Amino acid sequence: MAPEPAVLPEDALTEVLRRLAPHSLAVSRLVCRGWRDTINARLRGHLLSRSVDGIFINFTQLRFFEFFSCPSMGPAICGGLNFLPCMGVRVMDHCSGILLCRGLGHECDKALPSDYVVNPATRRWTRLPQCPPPHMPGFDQSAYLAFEPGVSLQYEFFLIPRVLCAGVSDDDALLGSEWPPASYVIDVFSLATQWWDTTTFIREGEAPEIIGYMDSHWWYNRYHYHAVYWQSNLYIHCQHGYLMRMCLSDHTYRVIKLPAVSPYLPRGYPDHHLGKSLRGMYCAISHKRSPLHQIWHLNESCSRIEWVLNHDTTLKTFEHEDYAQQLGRQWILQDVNYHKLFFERNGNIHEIHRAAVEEKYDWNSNEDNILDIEYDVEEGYEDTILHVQEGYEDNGLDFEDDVDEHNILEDRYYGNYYFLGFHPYREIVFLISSGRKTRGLAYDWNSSKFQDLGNVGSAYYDPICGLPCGETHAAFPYTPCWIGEFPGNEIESLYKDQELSRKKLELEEESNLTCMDIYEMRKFHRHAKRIKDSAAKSRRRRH
Amino acid sequence: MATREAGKKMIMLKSPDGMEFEVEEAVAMESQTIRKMIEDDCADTAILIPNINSKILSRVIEYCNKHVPTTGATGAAASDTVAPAALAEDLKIWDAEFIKVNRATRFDLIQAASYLNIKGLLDLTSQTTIDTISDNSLEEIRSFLSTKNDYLPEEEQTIRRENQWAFQ
Repeated sequence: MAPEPAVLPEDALTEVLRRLAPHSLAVSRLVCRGWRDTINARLRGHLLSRSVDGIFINFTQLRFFEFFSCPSMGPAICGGLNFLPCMGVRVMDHCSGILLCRGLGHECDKALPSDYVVNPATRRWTRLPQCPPPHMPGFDQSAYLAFEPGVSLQYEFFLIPRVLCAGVSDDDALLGSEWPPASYVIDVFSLATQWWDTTTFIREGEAPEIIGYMDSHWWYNRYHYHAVYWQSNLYIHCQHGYLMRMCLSDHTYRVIKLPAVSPYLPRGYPDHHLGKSLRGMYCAISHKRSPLHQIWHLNESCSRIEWVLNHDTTLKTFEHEDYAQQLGRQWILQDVNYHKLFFERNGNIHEIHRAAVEEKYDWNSNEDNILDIEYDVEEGYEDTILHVQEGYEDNGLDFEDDVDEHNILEDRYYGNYYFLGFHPYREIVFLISSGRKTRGLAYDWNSSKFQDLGNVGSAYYDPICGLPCGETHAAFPYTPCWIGEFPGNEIESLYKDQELSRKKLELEEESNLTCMDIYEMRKFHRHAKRIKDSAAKSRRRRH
Repeated sequence: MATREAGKKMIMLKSPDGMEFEVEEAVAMESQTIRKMIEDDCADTAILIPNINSKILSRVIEYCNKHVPTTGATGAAASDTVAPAALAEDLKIWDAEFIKVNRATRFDLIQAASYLNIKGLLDLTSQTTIDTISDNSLEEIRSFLSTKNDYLPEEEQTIRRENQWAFQ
């Protein structure tokens, strides 16, 4: 052993730290100042995980977002976002691991809902200041998030005005004008100014429509995520059937038509899902009550921007043994709604919820997994994938031959597929197959292979009632961002929130609870009210 | 065959303590840093490798010699007789033996691999450190790497509070 302690110089240290998994890298920032500075200066982009840690899903029948989580080595993500001072959330938009959430209160809570920006991985959050009203009467607006933590921690919000529907205004000048306008005035919240600013985007190319003649696609699903942020462009799918590509660096935008929908499709209306994946922007088209699936890629490499059909398939219904369970690598639905409801009824969420969520899994996702791209996963690839179309392997399922054995109903399509989202770094889409069982699936569209992830049926559902188990409003695959700083917290108007969060953390430290004292108070009030009521009752009885 | 052997270009590597090592160009080019120097024609005579003493440099060369892809007539013959999987297995065992060194040497090797930009060697030498960081508490990481906790007590408090998720 060398007499003096051996210390790695910065370059070598950087090389070592570069090889760590994102959450381990985040933890090692706490070792000493030198490490923190090295990571902040050189490895910030590495704090962004490139593997999907779970999928946030809003089931049609459920109030709050569910989290279908992937068993991983790192700290568990609390999908219920129980650290927020609200009962639950609806996720309005998401970008690079941070979420824009609308807080939902208790059902009898009359307080106005407030919006939060949340990093579920580090549990940092901030309240979004109130949005300014739309510039033009008769218009509505949607907020979208733009965040590229590898470049800067300054996230931005864009409030995009949209026409509600035709006939909303009787102003002829307005009705006769083209949409979207040649200069599009948009409110932007930026952290630099800490308030809303107005930015004008100049249109390149033609406007598709005149406001007076505009017809909203009535099958446009308002619950879906319609915006994707990629390489300083914000892509927004508008309800009138076109895509807006807003370039944030030079404040221009252009209108792009959505990929063509085949006229030969069976009954059912196209459902467009915009997403970011390996090579940029993609659009998946699915149809309600139809097994057809198309995946289009927006090719921007040449001068013309155009949609290219990447994959066109008819997904077959399949029911099979629980492969994922057999391998002991199931994804788990955290059952947020069930636990919150249980809490509401019984007042004690902690033990059950902690057991369900905070458990650390010892499954090493490096092996046998098509989803984890941070590591070499080529070997073992064949083991867990079910071969659906061409490939026939001994351990896979062949749909043509083994129909009876595996209960595959080929001629009769009675199940449903619900689209969950694109894997942001691989050519994989996530689906829910809802037949007899509700299973989460990963589908590699290049090789037409499925991987069964596990059961996504919520405990909240009663299967006997026959509710549609897998039907979703909206969902998105979530990749954590392990960056500790959260600039929003420094905004002066948010000190109150910060206090609250500090109090919450102290409470956690003291009693090891994950829930807010606000709920404790509410519980106490309800208890007090019950005592008062029963006292009043007994008084009445006495009279 | 003989001409090929004779035609093999040799490169002279010099350590700062004055030792000289003559290696085949292909072996030296395992290092991306040296490869760049050769390609830019800055390597006519000897290449001085700063910061790396002769003891470490000889080990690095040993590693490169073992890992250089076997090309040409002799290489083809060798890989014909031995299956690639067996070859890889053999290399793995050799690597495991190679890395049985004390911490100071390992750190020197990491530093050398980082400077010379030899990916395989860097992966191999940093693996122990990576495992340590991934699996241990902050105190254990600090003692393993002889790093001092230079955060002020109140700073550490803040860090602990802000990174509650990391201490579960």
